[in-house]
Amino acid sequence: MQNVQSETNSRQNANGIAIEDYHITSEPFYISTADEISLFESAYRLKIPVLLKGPTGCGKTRFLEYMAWKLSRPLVTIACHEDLTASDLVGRYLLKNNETVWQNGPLSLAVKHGAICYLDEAVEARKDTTVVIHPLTDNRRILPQEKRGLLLESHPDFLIVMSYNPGYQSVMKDLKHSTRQRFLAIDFTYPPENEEKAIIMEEGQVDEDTAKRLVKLGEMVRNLRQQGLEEGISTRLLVYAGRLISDGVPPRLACQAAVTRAMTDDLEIQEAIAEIIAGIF
Amino acid sequence: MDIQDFHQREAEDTSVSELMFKTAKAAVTHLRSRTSKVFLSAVEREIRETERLTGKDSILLEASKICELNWALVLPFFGAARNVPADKDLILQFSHLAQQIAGHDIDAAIAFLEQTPIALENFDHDHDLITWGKQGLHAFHGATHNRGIWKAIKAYFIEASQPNCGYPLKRWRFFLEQAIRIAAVSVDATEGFITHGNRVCLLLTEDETIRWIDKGLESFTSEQELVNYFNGTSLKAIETSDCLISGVPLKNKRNTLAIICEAFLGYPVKIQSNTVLLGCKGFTGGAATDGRTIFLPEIAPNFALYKLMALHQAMLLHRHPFTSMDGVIIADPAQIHLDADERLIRQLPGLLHDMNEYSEDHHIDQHPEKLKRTGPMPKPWWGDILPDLMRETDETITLVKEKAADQYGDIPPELLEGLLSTLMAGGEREPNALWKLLGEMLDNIEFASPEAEELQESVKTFFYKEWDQTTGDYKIDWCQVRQRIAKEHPNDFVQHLQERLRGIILLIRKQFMKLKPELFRKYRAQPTGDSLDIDALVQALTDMRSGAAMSENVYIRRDKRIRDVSVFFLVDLSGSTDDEVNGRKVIDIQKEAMVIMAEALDVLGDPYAIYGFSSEGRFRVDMFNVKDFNEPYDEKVQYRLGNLQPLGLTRMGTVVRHATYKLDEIPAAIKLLVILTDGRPYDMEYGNLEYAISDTKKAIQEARAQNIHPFIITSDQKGSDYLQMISPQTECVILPKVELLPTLLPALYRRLTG
Repeated sequence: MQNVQSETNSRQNANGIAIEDYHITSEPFYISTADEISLFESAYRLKIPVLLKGPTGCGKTRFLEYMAWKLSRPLVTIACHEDLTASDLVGRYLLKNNETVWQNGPLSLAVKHGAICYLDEAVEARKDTTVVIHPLTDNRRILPQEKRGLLLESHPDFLIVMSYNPGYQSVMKDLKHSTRQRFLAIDFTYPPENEEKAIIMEEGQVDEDTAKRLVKLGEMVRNLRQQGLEEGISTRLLVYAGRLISDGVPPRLACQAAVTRAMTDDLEIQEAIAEIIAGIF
Repeated sequence: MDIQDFHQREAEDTSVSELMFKTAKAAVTHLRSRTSKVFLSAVEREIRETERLTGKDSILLEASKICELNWALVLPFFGAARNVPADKDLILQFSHLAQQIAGHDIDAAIAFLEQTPIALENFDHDHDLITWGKQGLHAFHGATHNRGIWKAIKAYFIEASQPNCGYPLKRWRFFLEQAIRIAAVSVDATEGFITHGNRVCLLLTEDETIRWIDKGLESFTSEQELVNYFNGTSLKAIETSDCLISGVPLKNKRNTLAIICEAFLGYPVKIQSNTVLLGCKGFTGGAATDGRTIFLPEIAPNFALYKLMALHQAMLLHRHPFTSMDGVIIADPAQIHLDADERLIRQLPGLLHDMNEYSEDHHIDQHPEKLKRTGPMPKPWWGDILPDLMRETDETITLVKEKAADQYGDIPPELLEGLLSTLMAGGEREPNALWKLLGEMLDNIEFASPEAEELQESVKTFFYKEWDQTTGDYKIDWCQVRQRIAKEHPNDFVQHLQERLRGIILLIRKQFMKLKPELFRKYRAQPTGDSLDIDALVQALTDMRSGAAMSENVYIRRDKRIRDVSVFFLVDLSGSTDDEVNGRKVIDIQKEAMVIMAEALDVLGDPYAIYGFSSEGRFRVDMFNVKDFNEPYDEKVQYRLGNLQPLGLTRMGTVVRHATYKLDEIPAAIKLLVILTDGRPYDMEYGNLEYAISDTKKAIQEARAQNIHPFIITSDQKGSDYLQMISPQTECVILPKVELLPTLLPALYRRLTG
């Protein structure tokens, strides 16, 4: 515990983000659609790493925010990208006043303080980067900080969570099995009609009728999977459309901007979606 | 013998038959005795047949009149008259017409008589027969000075009497008037216009058709060009018709409508022209559905109406059998339509606006529940409900499916359903005929037959789909590619070329040597570079502080280190490459270009494959392997290249699909597909130009979707029309002179990948 204390101080000196900043203070809006909450709670109790699978914009990140709030743990989110290196995760020495100062990376931070560490879109990271999490995800629950010659043991509350979008059917971007088999997986899909309506009403600040129409639009556009739309329209986009409408943008224009043009560049499909919108609004 | 009998009866029988027979006898005195004997015995049989009919006197009397004109008309006349309703006036009118037509041309008159039974079967009213004949006669009057017009009029008698000809007689009168105009320039073009060409004008109004004809007459002078245009086979003919059309043709909007319906229903449906329904019970020419496919008219005044038609039919298709909201089955068509509209508006309230716009009575209420109370005035988007058709379709499909399950047990049912609805959408609805078609298809497709791959030589077979533009759908496993290895017997083609073109080859090799690799890549922790790598620098400094030696590798270098281009060359081996240009065969020029390219690529190190292609129908699309990606450019490859010979035809779509498949297998950042060809896609059963082009276009789109950059190089000077339809300007080159190919190809490649 003492160690933790001193670390926190030194990091504040070195422009680091304090773990307290990662706490979620107000309840995020989330509607459960299946048994994902109880499942996650069990996983958290047992400290089994979790993989959140699902298309973009269906509520994976929001779910995790909600769970972090519910379990009152800090949530450290790392957006994965191709240039993410192992030291970006673990930490590195910085120069300060002619001295070298160690700065923990977000992963080390989460490990030390027992946060939930969320690797968003884990496939985007290079495979040699994702392997650093391996010792954290089995019974060892350790993170080696090789440059410091230190072996960080996980705080008992630490949990690692990854999100993964199976929609990218690219050979180049697939999770290695040695990685994915360390996680239990929770599937996410677009919420059912009534839940989606409630979400759009709450988040988009629109009345029930508008929300209903937006849900109908979502359903119809999601029917078009065979037409070259890689993914169905996300609840997030529908919420955006709702917000535009509640901000006074005419519904058709709002949907045109938030749905048609956002979803595809193909003129024929655009035309068809525009007609569908015209039919709904 | 028969004649003897006849003479015996002669005395006792009525004089009309006698008169007829005598006339017939007199008419054939100039013929050889055998011919006349056959003829007379046939006439005798006809007379006996006729004697049983009620209107026999007038028929026999008229027959002798006809006979006086020309003996060859007699038998067709009897055949026709037997079918004409027994109405004396009608028979007299009919016979008079035949005589008048015969006065102009005997061939046309024979066609008129011979087609009469068919016409009677297909016309709605018996009197249409007279109108039909009069219109032909009228055309003779309109072109008195033009003797050749008979060809067109004969064609008219045949075409206009056909079932499902698609035009009312009034429209045919108009076509004949136009035919006379065309006949002033070319008689054969006129005939082509009546037999085929008018199809191009199916969607045009009369004024637009006149303009279409004017355009053809203005633009062309040579006989061949005129015939092609008025036959409707030239691209110009189709393009001109597209330009003239007012309103929205289905073919331009079919995809969009299909997407809307798929979004609405949640599963894909086919959209088809409703012309295949002609002759169906209850079909009046509007939109309709058979429970699987939505049939729409070929043209609509605007898109909104099309949308309403399609969605309305989608609703009918989806809700069949139609039950009201209370769960009662509705039988009254008007009620079904109203109910469907009501459901539509519930789901898509925005349609209300369009519905109000296009309903004549403006009675659709804001509140859907009141809909039922408004009078059932038919709305323009309603179309027809064809319960019989739906039931028959269901029955047919079930029947054929059961049969197929017995005979071809291993076919997945969804594939079967797909094949069947494609066949049915194509117009075939009769179970036995369908079964035959399906059988042909299934027998020709070999499912999972790995042994067949190793037949003679080392042929590998692949099946590919093909895009059928007429049904707007793929034909699954339609074409068979036979991947073979080009002949390998030694020859000095390449060696000879290497010697002859040593200079050029050296030059191009040098140019290619300079080709800078393409892809940028960031290298971290490098000894030199254009920016500092902060991470590495801090690392180096901390290392230094902690006592270790400081690394110099603190820069980021951006480098085009990797060149990751692969290219697939397709060489057209169609028969036409045997043609000579300035004393050299097109095929040899193509081969020469490939040799130069191969030499250049050998230096550059880009992986490349070369395949020749030729086809003979859909089961014989041959792809000759000259060089695969992993093969070195060695003697064997050179021999194969030298052995390429002109062969058959060009089924471009399938060839492109196979190349796409091959390219898809290799890892490369940039994949190019270069097609060397000398003419338009053409193969047996490859449909007309439009079909071949749309399939090729589709195949090219598929390739592009796989991240492959297709590129077409053609030496066909007329290529600009169809190439534009196949791919955008940036992806094709028309060689002004085919001899330029060997120098141009490397230059192009440099431009494409440099």
